[in-house]
Amino acid sequence: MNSGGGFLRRFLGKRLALAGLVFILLVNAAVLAMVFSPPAERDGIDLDNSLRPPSLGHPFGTDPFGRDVLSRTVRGSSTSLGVGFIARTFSLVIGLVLGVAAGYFGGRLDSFVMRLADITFAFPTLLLLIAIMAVVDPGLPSLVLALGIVGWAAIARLVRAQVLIYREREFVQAAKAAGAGHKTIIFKHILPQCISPVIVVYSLGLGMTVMAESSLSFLGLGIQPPAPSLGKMISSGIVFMRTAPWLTLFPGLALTLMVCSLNLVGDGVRDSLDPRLAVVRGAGRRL
Amino acid sequence: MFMKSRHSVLACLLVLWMISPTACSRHEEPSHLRLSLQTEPTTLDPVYAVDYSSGMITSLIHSNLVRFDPDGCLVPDLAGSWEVNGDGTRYTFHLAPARFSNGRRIVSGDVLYSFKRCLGPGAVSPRWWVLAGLKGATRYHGGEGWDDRAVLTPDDSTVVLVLENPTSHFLSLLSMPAAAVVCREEVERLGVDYSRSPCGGGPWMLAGWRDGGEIVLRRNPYDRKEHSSIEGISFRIIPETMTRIAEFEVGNLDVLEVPREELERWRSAGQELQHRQELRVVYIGLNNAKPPFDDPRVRRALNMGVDVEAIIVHVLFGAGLKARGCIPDALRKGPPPEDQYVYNPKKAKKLLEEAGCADGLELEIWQRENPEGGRILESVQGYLSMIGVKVTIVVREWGAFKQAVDQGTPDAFYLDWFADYPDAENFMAPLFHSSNIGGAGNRARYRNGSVDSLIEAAAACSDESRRWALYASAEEQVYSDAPWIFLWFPTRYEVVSYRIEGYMIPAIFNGQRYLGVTFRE
Amino acid sequence: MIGAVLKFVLRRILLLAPILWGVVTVTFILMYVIPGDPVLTLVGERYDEETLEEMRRELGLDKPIPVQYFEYITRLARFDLGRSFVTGRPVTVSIMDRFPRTLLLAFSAMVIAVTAGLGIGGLAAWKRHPWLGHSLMTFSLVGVSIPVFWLGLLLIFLFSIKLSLLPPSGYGGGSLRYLIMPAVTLSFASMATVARVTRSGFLDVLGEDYIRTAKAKGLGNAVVVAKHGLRNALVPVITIVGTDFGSYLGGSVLTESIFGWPGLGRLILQSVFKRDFPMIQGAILFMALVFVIVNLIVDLSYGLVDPRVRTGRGGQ
Repeated sequence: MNSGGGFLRRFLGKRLALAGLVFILLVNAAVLAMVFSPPAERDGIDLDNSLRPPSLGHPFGTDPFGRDVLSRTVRGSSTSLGVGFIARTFSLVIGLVLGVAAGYFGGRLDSFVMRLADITFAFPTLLLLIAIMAVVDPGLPSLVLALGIVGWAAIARLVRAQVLIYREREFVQAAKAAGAGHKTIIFKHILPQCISPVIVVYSLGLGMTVMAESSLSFLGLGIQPPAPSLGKMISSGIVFMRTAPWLTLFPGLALTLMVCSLNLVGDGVRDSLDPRLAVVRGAGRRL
Repeated sequence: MFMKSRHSVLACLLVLWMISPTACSRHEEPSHLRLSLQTEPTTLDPVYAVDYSSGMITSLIHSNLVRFDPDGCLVPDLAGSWEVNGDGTRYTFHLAPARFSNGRRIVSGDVLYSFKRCLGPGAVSPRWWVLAGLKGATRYHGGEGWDDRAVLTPDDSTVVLVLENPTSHFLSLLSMPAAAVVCREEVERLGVDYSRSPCGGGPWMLAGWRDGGEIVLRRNPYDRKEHSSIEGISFRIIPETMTRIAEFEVGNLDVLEVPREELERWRSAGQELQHRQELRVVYIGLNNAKPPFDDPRVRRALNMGVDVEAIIVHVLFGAGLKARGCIPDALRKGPPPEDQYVYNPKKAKKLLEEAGCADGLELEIWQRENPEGGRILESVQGYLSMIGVKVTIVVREWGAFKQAVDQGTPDAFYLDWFADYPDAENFMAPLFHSSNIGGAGNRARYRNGSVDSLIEAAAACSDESRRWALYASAEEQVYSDAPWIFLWFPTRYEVVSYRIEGYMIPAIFNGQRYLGVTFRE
Repeated sequence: MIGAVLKFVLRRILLLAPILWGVVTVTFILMYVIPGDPVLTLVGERYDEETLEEMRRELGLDKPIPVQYFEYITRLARFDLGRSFVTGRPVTVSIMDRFPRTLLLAFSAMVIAVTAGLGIGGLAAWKRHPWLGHSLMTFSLVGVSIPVFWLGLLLIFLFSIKLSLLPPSGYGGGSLRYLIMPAVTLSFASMATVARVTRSGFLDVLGEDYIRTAKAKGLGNAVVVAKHGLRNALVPVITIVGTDFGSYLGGSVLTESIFGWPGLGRLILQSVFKRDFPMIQGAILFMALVFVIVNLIVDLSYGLVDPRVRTGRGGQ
């Protein structure tokens, strides 16, 4: 069993994972710093200063409206991060509930849930996302919903597999014999066994979720203006590729760093919690 | 065992590689004009062509009774000459000798057939309204019998069109793709598939169409009205601006539309750019039926609160002209109205106060999905926030956008209007006549009785200068009522390769037929 | 033994039917709740209500939705995917027009990913140079983390804009110059993953005694190492290649959009925006079919490569 302190020690011992975590914290700190700066500096349109190349005052240059690309990049990163975490949590809740139900009760419920997962898997991920985003009103809540729906199946499969293993174990059987109800067995005996693999899968999926979010925003179906989003910043910078390449380069760099950090943290969590869990990173479906 | 299976896998891959459609180099015809299209045409059947690419290519393949030249002047096409009777309800066309691309002579019966086909309940043409002015056409479209008095064919080379009411822009309507003449035998032989193998009497005929790749036209061998040194045109479908630029730069394209973001770069490279003000108006329509936007003071305030000139300079890089009114200059016969909405945030605020919207007005502007619109609306959003109007931008893709806007759900929407034909009527009647509220064009739901009657009077007026005067006074009323936030008339910039000469940006989408274009020696 | 494999295959094929039915149904439901009437995009500007009604009737959209669904399923049973709302062409014809291009792209990407991935991974393990190992780890991390659309833009910026070596996008009749950048972009993530698992596969083997002796004998025995290392890395590599190839065959929407590659992914994206229901439905069904079949083949190939897996893998 992993004790909390042991996990922390192991995780902190991994330099790369730590670096990822530090980067994520830095982004958040930068956002906090900006929240306390005067609002005019943040989103003011200043057409006289449009499309300035990177300089000391604007390290990432300015966009066609004269807005600072650096501050927009930072805020875009934090939005992506937030969406990633919430969406992943949403997936986790659905996956956990359905996975436990399928694994524990079995039978028709089980095959129904698993077929549902199969169907979700059979869809090209990005297309399913696009289709869902076309149905609901674009915006943050819908984005979270769509990303959540797409991610549940993998978690549900994993949870179900865990439940199937522990359902037949002696301590569960003993609890059953002692007259414990379903609720007690699920919450006291089975769920705790699922926690560490679930945390691993949760954190391993974060990078992919952020990537999916920015892809949708890149296609114009995600976060709506004027809220900055990295994907949208990149797509609207394309026409300026020849004349103002900083508009696409910096947000893309930030996005790559962000996904890298999340993947590092994910790997770190896996190696510290459950190194036996054979999840090949990146072997999921490509966007 | 493993190595063996690896070999067989490799062999399989090799075979796959060979059967997949690999490297076939492009067969370039030196005598072909090489152009590009941003979007692929959906159909080449003139009665179904509603988008730019379809309409443009369809018009190269088919011929109409009359057409527009690159400058937007009405010129003969199939009809060598025509007369109009006194009250403007009877048009007599004398057909010049012409043949379809399959060699058959075009006769007056073909005009009758094509018009009936466009109007007929069987074809379900979204553009049947082009010919709705013909006698009994609306009833025929509704399922009643054909009125034999509408299109008369006294002999093979004479067509008489009889209208229900005088319609002064009728000849313009006849230039639209929907009024093109099609070859009956081919339509009947091919049915639905006519859209991919059309047969018309235009200067060009379809030689090949590779899905998602290229459309190749070659000269209609039976059309020798005009000589051309160009034997064919290939339209490559290239949606990405950057690719079009790169292909032009390496010499694979003969004409390129220069995006305004790159204007500076091309100018400083010393390239000679052609330009023409487009017959297009860009605007933010306000929902005139929805409070508080039913109050003209609010609408005027919004117009004064946006610095259109600054947006043109900084966001459009100068590629546009501030819209004073709604009719592009090329269609005017007099000076444009005075600028009533000079940027003036103070006055805008005061107007809002008078209208009782002093403590913050909220405005939801809808926009169809495209990156350029986003940039423009973000600057509008910035300006309006300075007069206390909180703008929310709602992006929807085209279908959903259209549905909501046409039903009048949003407060405001960002849109543009392209000319169907170069006539002031096209910028007044559809956009501001109260009978056209909704999908017919008046999406701002603007309703003004006197504007309606001015537009109606102009449509019935056969005297050109009086007709213009009527449109001008209708426009003046509209301008001062401010149903839109008037933005600009865009300017189009193109660059032409040194290989060709005689090319000119057409005023109207189907105005360029490439017959005057020649290769340099 | 063969009977067991056959039974496994049959069971999987039987399971495909309900999955595909589910895909069709989910797509159908999604399409009919999507706001935006397909006829609105077809009708162009300046339309009236009657024309809309007529067009709806023409396309069969005026019938109640359950009836439309039933009719669609019935037609599907006869392998008829219908005609596109927009172009009027049979959906199967359009799909078959596009699929070879998607196949070409996916296949080239896979070839690049496998050859480069095995090469890089093997080299990094063989040389055991710490610097090399670190760069490989970085490469594999960046490879899976870099967003495809940004990578594509970077390549365009570098090779088309700055160096003017390759065309920025387009299909160019299938010529190699146009294929290189999209294929590399698409292959990148797979390449990185393949390199990573190859390296660890090799490292496991390199520790073995017989390899040590082989290596001590000199480079001539590299073949032995390669053989054993490859075998060790093969199952994870097949997993990666299989799942990725399945996704790529379905048309990689982003890569195809950035590089203007007229394949299936782009077709679907355009159809979604145009509300071309028959086309969306047909193409998604086709993609799902390809995807599940490729997955089935991957599962079967485990059995061929490594007899221990023949029992099938339950629940992942």
